[in-house]
Amino acid sequence: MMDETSDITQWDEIAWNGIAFQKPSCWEIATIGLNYLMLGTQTDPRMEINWGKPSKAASHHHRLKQLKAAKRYLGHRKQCLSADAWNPPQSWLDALPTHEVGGFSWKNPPGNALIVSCSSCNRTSLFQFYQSSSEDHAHFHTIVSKLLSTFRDHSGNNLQRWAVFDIRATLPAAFQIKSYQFSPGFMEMVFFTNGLKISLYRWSPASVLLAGRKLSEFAGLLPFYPEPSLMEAGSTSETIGDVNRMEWVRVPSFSLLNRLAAFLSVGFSHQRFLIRHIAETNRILAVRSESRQSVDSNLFDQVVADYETSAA
Amino acid sequence: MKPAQLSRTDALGCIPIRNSMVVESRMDSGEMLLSYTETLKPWFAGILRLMKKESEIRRTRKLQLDILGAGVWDLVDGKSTVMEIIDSFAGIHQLYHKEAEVSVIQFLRELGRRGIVGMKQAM
Repeated sequence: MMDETSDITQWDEIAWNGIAFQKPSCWEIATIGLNYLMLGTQTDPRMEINWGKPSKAASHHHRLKQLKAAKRYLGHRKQCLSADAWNPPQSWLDALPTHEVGGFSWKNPPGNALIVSCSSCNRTSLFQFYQSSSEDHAHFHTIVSKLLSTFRDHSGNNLQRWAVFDIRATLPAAFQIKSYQFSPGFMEMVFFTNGLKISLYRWSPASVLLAGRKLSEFAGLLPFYPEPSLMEAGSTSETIGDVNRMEWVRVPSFSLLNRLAAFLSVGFSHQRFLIRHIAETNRILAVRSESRQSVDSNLFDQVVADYETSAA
Repeated sequence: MKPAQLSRTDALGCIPIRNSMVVESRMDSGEMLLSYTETLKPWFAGILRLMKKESEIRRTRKLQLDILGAGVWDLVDGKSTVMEIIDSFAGIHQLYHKEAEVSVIQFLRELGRRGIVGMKQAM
């Protein structure tokens, strides 16, 4: 089988839980964790990255703690780790001008890691790159340098980008990821901030899921589709924009009993859901908000507008 | 002696081969029904023989494939490698490649477990 890394003309973005960078398109996510990513080609692992949280104070003690944690992590994964200082190639250092960069290496089996601390957000990230045996050394360094030059570990504005697999979304930075699921055919990411939960869903292939039925019928099968009794009571309004778009809003009625129940309840009484069929990419995308108060329409509309899938 | 373990590259380069004894019937809905003879473990077949239940040694089982499963089954032509099947499947349904890879490998593994397909190493 041909080594796919020989083709590095196609690059795409990856953005996950605070970090973002461009990567060769043939490096796909092999493992994903809250603060961990492993990327690989169809045959080989190519890189791993771990990252911590940004910290307000950039103390020497904090950096030392993060370095120790990184070494502990590697020591756990790679037996007989005896870390020595390692000078990363100049091109790698040049690619990260606003970061403090250090490296260490180990033997048996040989490897090295790059520790990158951002001078503005103080987030520390640990990179490991794997050169395939058939790969030219200069070619490998070119890829890594280009990747590092696109690395971002904080957002310039108040927005947070999310780009994994074929999902692309932008949310206000205040939203923290609460849970996620990436399965063949179904992907879900749930975000949370004060009193507001936003869930993003993605189904594929739409042509099969919608075979012989309308989008509204598909939506009706979802577990959180409002019960018919709520529709009849008038607390839920449903809008079918066109065959490829449907929305419903659930607002608690204003009876005293309902108000009291909403006040005492820890759950979210307001819900809004918008589902779209994207025929061009053969996907179904949906955004769902759950909140105690009515969700800000501008925020919801913006999340919907920014939520898309890249072409397969 | 244990057979040497295949590398990932070798595994993706294998060619799935249909069991010639499998009978397929296509339904109007696009789904498919595969009828195959269940392969019992030799020790279990031995127990059935001892119990004089030889008729149960060769039981016919049925497996219903949905549209996606039937699509992959159609791609198992005895010439295409696992990787080629994944690529075709991803292309037909505009799937994200990794998503197609996970689905096809899981599906072929299940067919292999039931003895419906075997794997031939590409030359």
